[in-house]
Amino acid sequence: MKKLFIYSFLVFSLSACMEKEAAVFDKSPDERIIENIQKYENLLTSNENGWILSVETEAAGGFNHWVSFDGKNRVKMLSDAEAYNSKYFPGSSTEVIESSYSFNHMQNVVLSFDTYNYLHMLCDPQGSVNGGENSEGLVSDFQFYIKGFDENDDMIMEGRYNNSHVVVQPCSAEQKTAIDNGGLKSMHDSFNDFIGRTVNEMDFPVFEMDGKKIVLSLSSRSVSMEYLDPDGNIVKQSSGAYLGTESLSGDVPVSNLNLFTPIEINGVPFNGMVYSDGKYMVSVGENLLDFKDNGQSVFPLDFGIGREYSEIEITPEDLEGTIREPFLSDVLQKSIDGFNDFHGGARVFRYFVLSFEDDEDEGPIFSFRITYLTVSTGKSYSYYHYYTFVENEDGSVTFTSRKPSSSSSKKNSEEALKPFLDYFCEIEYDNSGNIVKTTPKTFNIRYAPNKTPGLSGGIGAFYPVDNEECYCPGVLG
Amino acid sequence: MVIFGLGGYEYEKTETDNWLYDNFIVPFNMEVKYRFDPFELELNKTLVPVSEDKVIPIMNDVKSIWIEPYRALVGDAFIKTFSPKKYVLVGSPEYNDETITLGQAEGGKKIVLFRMNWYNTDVKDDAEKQEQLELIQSMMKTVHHEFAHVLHQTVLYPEEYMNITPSGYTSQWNNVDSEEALEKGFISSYACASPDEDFVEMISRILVYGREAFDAQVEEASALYAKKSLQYDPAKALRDKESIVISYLKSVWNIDLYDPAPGVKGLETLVQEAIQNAVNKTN
Repeated sequence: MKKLFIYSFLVFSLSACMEKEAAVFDKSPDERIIENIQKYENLLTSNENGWILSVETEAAGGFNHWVSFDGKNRVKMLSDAEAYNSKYFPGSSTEVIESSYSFNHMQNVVLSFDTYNYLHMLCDPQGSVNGGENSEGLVSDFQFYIKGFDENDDMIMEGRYNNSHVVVQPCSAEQKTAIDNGGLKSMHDSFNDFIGRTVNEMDFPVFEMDGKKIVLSLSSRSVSMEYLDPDGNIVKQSSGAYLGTESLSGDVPVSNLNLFTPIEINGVPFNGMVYSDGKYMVSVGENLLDFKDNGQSVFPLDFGIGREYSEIEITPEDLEGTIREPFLSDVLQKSIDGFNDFHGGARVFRYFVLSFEDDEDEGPIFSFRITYLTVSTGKSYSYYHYYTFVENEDGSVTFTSRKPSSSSSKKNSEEALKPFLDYFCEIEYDNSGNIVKTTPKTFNIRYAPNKTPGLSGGIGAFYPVDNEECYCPGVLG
Repeated sequence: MVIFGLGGYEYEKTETDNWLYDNFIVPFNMEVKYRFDPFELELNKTLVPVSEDKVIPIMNDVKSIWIEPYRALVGDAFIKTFSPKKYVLVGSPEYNDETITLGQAEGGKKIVLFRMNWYNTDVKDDAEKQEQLELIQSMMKTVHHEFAHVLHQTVLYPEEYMNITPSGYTSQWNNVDSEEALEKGFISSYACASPDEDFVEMISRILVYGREAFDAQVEEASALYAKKSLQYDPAKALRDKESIVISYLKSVWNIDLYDPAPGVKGLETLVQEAIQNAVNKTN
């Protein structure tokens, strides 16, 4: 019995000291890392036509590249960057750069472009290389974690330094041929042409979802959407975007525009733009929505004394395309020509500024300012006409009277400026210079369409309630 | 058993790799990293790699303007013993708040050269030639500056050097313009940072910009002394510093800074000739 107890004790003691390990994986960590790297390297070197690599930059939206890996750490590359700026990236869509790449493992598989190519030109911290800010460049990456594949079997990557989003898709032989002939740039040309003929022809392109009007701004590299939230605040959301390859074949006039990160509004994802049935449609969840011209801005303009904006500036040469008929010829140009003719070349018109002010003597007043150049001195001067006004319950503004000109010089040129001065409130004088008749005019003040290429900033306008077509636009300030 | 990453990443060798192997690794045990490795650099700075086509021309200049002159005077062993073991080439400048970094050295072991993508491999006209000269001078000033640190960290220069212009040293050297530095007897603004920087700036600037340029600076310092009420004669200070530098290099390392005799070239002449050859060869 004693021996049985001792033997049993020994057996149990020994078994208590024996640790048993169950391997979770059938391979060591290093073997699995190598296998993982090999998997991606084999994939990326498997397509002889290369890949389309689309990368998002923080400062300039999406850029497409054609890349081809040879399995020996050499990669060839083209870029659509010359469509962004041909001064900084001349020939990028046709001149192949060959450089070095490598795969590594830092928490995840990393694809690294080791020597300088088009991707680095976007990242270069020297602003003179890419037009970006010094020390930042266009804020992008050239080393990427490989995250996996999306629902379309596109490879998804993320930048190591700036978390840039990247999508990698295989390139077909047909697409490669188009790319060899500058296709990466021509995709942008096609987009700009199509948008110019369609969406940009509208003054206020919107689409509707669940009764909400959403304003869309498109470029070939980014999309932004604006709408009013339930509290009446303007909400703006943006995302970098990249052109798909659909238009490379020439079968369709414009490629789809894909967002790197869907924009969500009320939980519904907006994925980008899709060309369908001859139109550019907004891809929303599973649906395609159409654009329409809303005719006027969706957003109210906060304009007046102490408000977000209180003036508009009208410099005609800076607003080409934005100032339209009949206002352009019947009001503006007539007044400018009248002013210049009246002064016989001694004074030349420069610009108008129309503003609501709280004058310390006059109180709330509407100021009509004309700035002109005195040729002999080369200096600019201004003078003003003032209007009284009332704000109506419906938000419109009525200019009730215009103060008579105080100085003789102002009075003399008032006749020359009459079309524009009377535009806001018509005044008739008798032969003695007394006001005998006043005709107030009422306006809605709203955002107006900006149709001047390259002009940034909001455009506001005075819309006559009885003749909205003859509206007076200018740069908001 | 395979351990991932042990021994580093194995690249397929290119023509550039083979040239670097033959010209730097084998003769001098010096590694030249031109492929981007973020762990060699500041992790919080935006930097990009060098363009491959510039690597050989750049390192050829480094070899001809730095290694060869020293080799000619004191032989292979000197460079092998004291040279930094690693060069890292970076394409872009490294931006700081108000300055850019042109070069960095770590304890004499590693030298990082920035803005290497500015190197012009196809100089077309005099304007580009001048730009190329300025870039090569700037690049080689960094190389010679950092190498001079290695020398004085091995054998310190005489203590009397620190007492020539002691009141001029300041941590705010980047707020000292070049004329103010000269008035105080310093060859550059950066020389005002500390005696060590002062010493290596003397060596590197005389080598890279030449004896004539230094003499002109001394003359200018003399003129400033005549025109302004300065505490001491900056021209004399510069000559005193020059004298110590000459004596140090000769007595410690048996290197003649200037030509010791007609027909016999000193370090400065060899470096100047190499710079001119480097600039002219790209034309």
